[in-house]
Amino acid sequence: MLPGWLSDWSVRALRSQDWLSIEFFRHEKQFLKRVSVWSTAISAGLSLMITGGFAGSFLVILVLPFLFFAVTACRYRILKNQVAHDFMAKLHAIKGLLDVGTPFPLAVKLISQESSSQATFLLNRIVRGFQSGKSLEANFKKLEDKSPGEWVYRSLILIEQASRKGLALSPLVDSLLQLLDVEFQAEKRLKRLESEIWIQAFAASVIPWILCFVCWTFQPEMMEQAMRSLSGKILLLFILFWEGIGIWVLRSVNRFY
Amino acid sequence: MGTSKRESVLLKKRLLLFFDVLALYVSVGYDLFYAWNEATESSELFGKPDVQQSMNAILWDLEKSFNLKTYRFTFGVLRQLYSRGASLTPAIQAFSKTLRRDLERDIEAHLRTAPLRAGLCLLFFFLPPALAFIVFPFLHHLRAIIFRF
Repeated sequence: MLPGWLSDWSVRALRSQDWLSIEFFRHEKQFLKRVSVWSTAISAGLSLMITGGFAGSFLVILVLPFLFFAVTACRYRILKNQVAHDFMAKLHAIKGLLDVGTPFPLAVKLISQESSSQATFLLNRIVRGFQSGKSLEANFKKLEDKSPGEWVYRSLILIEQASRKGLALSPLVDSLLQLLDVEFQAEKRLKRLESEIWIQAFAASVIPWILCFVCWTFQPEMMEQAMRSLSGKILLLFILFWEGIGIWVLRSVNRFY
Repeated sequence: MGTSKRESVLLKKRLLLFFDVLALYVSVGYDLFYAWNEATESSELFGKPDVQQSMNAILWDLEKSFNLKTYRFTFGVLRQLYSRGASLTPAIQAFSKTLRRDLERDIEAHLRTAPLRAGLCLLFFFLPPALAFIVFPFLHHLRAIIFRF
């Protein structure tokens, strides 16, 4: 059991990263199964190669979660982008139906019957709740922290409020589409920059260890002698600490919101 | 009260959402007080206003104490327009547009400066370890050579 403050912090951190999504884990069972099998195989292979025996099972425990979470986070990020694109397309279609006088819930239902994607699942869920007698607002509120991105949630709230008050939805959806398009482009540029910086950081953080490996290959005695000394051990710890600080600083340099 | 750059960007983003919703209600003819109440439901920026508090008082408070100093005047302008019974829709839409442009400028500035800051950070935090790995094993020999002279 985690202490209260740590559990609160973890939940906040995960929510701010926006990858704790029930829809994602529900829809991606097959993918997650494949990833867990592959990550187990790769980490077992790695530990076998490095230690030369099964004694390195401890290494598997270390490598496995990193591999699993890295691949899952990557997949979720790709899916989030797909959902955003898909959602924009659905909104365009809904606007078309609204223009010819279709009521909003019916428009959502018709569009969601036409395809099966994450965005459709989201819309379907809203319509299901609406048909079971709950207000649209209650259904949208349920999606908080689970929807694929803040701006999708925001657009849903705006549409819901307008629908609840009986306002004209077509011009609203039209202006929303324009706003979301601008925000989506900005978000994409920020994400691209973020991933470029992380790739550079990954390369830069790996280079010292590659150099160490190269030096060890060519001058094993000298390196062994240097690393066995107290100052060598202190230097190793300091490098780990320094790179850790570097990653922490980069995280704050990279973040816009 | 002073706010950090990141906090101010977040505040701007929340204020933008608030003004978007407010503009939606006001543009179809609802009173500002009613629209304000509705907009607070979808925004964490402001709490639900007190029933006894008038719209003028709410706007006056915000004009005096809103965290983003540069946007305090918007509440003052809104208060003036509201008390004179003028049309609020163009004003709110204009505030919303200004905020959006301001946020876009912030994004542009971030996109312009982030690569340089990240580059400096990489140089400062990741180059020294690489140099240390190259130089450290030979330090002993270097010291011996230096002491010989």
